[in-house]
Amino acid sequence: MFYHGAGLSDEETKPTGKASVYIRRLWPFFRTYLGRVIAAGGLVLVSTGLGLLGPLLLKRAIDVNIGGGDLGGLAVTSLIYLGLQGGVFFATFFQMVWLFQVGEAGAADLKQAVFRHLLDVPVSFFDKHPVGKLISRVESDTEALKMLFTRTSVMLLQSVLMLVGMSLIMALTSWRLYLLVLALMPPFVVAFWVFQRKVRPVYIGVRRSVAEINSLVSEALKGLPVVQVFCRQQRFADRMNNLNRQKYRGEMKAMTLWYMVWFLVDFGEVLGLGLVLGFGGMMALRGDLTIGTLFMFVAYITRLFWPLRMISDQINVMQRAFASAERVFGMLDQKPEPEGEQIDGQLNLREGIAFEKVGFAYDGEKFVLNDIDLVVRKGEKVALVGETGGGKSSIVNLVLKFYTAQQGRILFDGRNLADMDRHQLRGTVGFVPQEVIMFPGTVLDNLRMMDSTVPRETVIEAAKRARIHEAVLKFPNGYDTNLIERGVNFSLGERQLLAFARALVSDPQILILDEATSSVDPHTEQLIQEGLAELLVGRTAIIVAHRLATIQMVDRIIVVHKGRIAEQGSHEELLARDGLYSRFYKLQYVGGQA
Amino acid sequence: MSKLALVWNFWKRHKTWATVLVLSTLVMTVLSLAFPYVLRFIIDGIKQGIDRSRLIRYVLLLAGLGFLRALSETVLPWSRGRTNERFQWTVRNRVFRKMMDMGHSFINKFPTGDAMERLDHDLEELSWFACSGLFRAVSAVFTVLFAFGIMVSMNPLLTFITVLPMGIGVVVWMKLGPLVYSRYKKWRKKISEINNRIESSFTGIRLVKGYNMEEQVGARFRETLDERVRDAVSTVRVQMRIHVFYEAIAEIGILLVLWVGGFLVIGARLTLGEFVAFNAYILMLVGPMFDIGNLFVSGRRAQAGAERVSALEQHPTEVKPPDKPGQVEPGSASSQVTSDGTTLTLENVDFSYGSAPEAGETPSQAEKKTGGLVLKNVSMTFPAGSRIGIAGTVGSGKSTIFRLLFRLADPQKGRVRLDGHDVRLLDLDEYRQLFGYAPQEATLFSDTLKNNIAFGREEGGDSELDQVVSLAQLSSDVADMSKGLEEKLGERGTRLSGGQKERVAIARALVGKPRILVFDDATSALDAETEKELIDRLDKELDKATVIIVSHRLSILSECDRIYVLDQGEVKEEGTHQELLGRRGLYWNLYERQLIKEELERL
Repeated sequence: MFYHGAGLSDEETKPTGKASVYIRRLWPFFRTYLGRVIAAGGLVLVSTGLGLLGPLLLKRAIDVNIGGGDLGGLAVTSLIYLGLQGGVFFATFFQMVWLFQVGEAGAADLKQAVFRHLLDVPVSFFDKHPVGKLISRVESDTEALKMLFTRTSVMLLQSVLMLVGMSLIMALTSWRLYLLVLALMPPFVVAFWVFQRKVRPVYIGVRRSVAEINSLVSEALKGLPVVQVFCRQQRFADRMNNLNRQKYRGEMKAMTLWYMVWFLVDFGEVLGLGLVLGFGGMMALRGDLTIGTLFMFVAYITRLFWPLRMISDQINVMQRAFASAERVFGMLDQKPEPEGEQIDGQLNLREGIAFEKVGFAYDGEKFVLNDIDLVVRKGEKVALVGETGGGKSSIVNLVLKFYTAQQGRILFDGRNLADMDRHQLRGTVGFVPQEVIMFPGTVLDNLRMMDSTVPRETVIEAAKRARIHEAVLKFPNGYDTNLIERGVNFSLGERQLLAFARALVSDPQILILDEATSSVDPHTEQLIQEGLAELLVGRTAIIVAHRLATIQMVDRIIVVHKGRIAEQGSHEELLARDGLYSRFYKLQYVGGQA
Repeated sequence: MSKLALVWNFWKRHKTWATVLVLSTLVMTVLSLAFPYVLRFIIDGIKQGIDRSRLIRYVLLLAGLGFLRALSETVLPWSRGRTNERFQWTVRNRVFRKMMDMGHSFINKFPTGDAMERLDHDLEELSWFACSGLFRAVSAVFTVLFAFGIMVSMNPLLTFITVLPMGIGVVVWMKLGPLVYSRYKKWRKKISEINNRIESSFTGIRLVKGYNMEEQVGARFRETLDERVRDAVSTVRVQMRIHVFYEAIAEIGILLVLWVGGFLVIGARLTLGEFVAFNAYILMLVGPMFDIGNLFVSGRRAQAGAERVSALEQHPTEVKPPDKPGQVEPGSASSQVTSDGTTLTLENVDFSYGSAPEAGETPSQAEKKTGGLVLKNVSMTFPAGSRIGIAGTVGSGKSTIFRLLFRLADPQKGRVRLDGHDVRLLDLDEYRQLFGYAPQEATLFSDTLKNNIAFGREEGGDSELDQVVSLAQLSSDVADMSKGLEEKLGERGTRLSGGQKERVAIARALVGKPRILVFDDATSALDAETEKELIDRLDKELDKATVIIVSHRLSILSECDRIYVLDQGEVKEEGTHQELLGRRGLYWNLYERQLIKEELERL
């Protein structure tokens, strides 16, 4: 029940690598959309540039047209203004939409790359990394990177352009007034920078509070009976209150800082206006400045502080993006499963599978299999029997090449499994794991494993043989029923049958079945037996057996105890020996489960 | 709007604060609107060639006003934000407190992740609306009304011409707003679909690899990603259209001022100052128009959020405390707790978790769920000071018996009695104080070791704590920890082994010398020897307590005064170990199997 706080520690890590390295590696994902990016960048130039001209036109209208009483000229200026703004809207709209499109598409490519890469990484990787974390690698971290290539870069470009453009126009119209405005800026730059430094740890604190609130909710709900028996409800409510207070304080601190900056910007604007109107006004009174120019300065001052803030905001965003980049590339740098040697044509099992003195440890230290010698001949059906944790599933895992044994060899018709191409090998195998996993999608797609080249009829035929056809048809949409997460709308027994159907669709030469341990009602039990019998016809099979009916269907039983093969032989032989098997038999197969 | 009752009730309780907020919004509006008004005098003054001292006075007035405006525009949103956070705090506290009294149907209905989401994002959205959303709209209405008044006073014709497009803006927003919302929802749905795909593919990685379906799964993922990009872009398209439209309305307003206003200035029917002020007012009106339109969209979202949050709070609890304190039999509750005799009985108890059939369930499954009694006509007696064992297979209903004993749920039929009193009439907290409980799966919390053990029953102080630590055989483990009992467990603390967790849970059960101890298979991670030693020591120390124990170990069961054997929710056999063995029935069967198990452990 102790799970790691949702992405909490991640937030605090600072990137260790160089920014340029990340940018170089990210580049290919966005290069595809270079045309769009450049077009959008061009539009940014246009919209920012045109946007800056607005006040200049108003100045002209006031000084030249209105001042000169020129109605025609005013109409012309108004039309130019109309055209200008039209251009700005047009450019803004397409620039925003395109950029967003590029960002989403680029991020999707990146997500796809990470997701697809992780599918090729060895199974052992998933033993070490909780799925929740992997989801945030694929999802949240790539989102942070998207910002870097879209919003952030555009904001920076736009901000710089605006600052430079406004400065130029102001300086060229009245450099004296401009110097006055310029003098105002340094304190604000410093203030923004200080704000960024201060607010970041506060935000981290707030996120931590939120994570703590979430984990309290989760802990309390999972341990609710204990909480209630010990009458600790109020105590937990008090803890919640404390965490709420902590979050509140953090939020207020961040908010206060934020509004201080807000005030500063507002105040700076007022100060700038006062200065411009005061000095500019006097200049205008002397006739050194037109009223239009004064008006123009007033209009620019209200836009001056925005780009300054944006620049300091975006620097912060960039830092966080690089931390995300580091984690994303950490995933992409995981080594995929080793490539094996592919043979021409289809791989066919001719003789059988053999274990030679195989020893295996998941962590490389604690061996769960020792000295396993085992031969399964083509067409033979064997059952693995023994206690939970005894090593049965490990044997299955090795046959499927999910892991590599540290000692000994596993041979497929005499070829070392380690040298074989994993796809070719697994192409010969149908695998039914203990927990039946359903993927989001329809029943049909789940049975044909997303492979839309498999015709519907084949799937239905397999479902009939697996005795699940009737159950599927109970749903109004039949095979097109959408399975909610993990197929919860089928009973455990029915899911076992679905897994059989899945294996039947792929029509494998070798069947590997890890039977579910849960007991089912007699009717379903009967269906499972019939389904399994269908499934076994004409195949080589290795079964981790939990049902009495199953061990009666196989040719040979292998007793795995404490990582070793303890006994093997037919059911009758082993019973007669009165060894481990006869005990397991009594324990597990006669009269239900303890 | 009754669905937003959560919000209205909050404001009913904070009427003064609401009034303060409305008044300060008013002040802020006046200050903001006065600003262009003064600007107008400055421009006109310069035009007319006023003297310098008057100009400076005007400018100082403007700066003063500006300062106040900046101040109010800072303080007001700040206090609104503060109220949002307060609201969130209050509601989260209250809902969480109610959740702490919920039973199994709550857990079934709201998976942990869902409950978290509701208390986090939904509540966050709702609380933004509760104050910021509402008062922004108030502020917007003030601004629109006042600005309109001032503009009319300057020039009614120009006002009419320039404000007209804004009215259209509100209409457009009310039309497009819901569209944004519905597209946004579609987009969010795709995002959670992406998460589902990642989750199922990684959880089922063996299946994916075993069937060589990496390419297909990858292709499906790509498809969903593409759909997501499409939905995202279509959402943003509408958003951008609204955004650009609003900007356009402002600019059209300015254009009209420029043209019509310029025309009026040339004709001397409008001063240049008024012309400039008009410009400023137009710009000031855009935001509020947006806020008014937005109120309807955010209101709808807040409504959905409020419903989701209230659902947590309004879920019925399984167990109701006695309606009136008077219903507790006079003096009985407390006298029962202090007296020596605490005999518990279950009388002909039926129980089912009974939940309604879910969509897509076949009738037979639903029937199994609703009709299926977990306990059928179960009667048991736990006399004071006795040791009672419960045996049975997985799913035979053992843990459910404890639920009823603790009153985590009440039986549909039959009664649970404490010394003859129906436990439903007893004070719930006092009744539960009778028990010490070590569950099947040791439940520990992210807190110090000490708090996990004392768990609120701190009356005994440190000496008692040391005693239970030693009883639960934790002393040496505690000594090994750098901070001893103050060591933090969990997420960012020490991780304990399975056996250590179990012993912590046992120590917790012992704190406060409870009269009835319940061990629900609480020692399965301990090896046989440690377990035996633990039980023997407990036996010596706890001679007066009733002990109810579920175990597979024969050494433990054989020493019980009485054993109940459960099968499929019914008591099939009862008696002492010897009696039950002699019967050669279910218990004997379990016994035989356990013997083999213990033998296998040794082989």
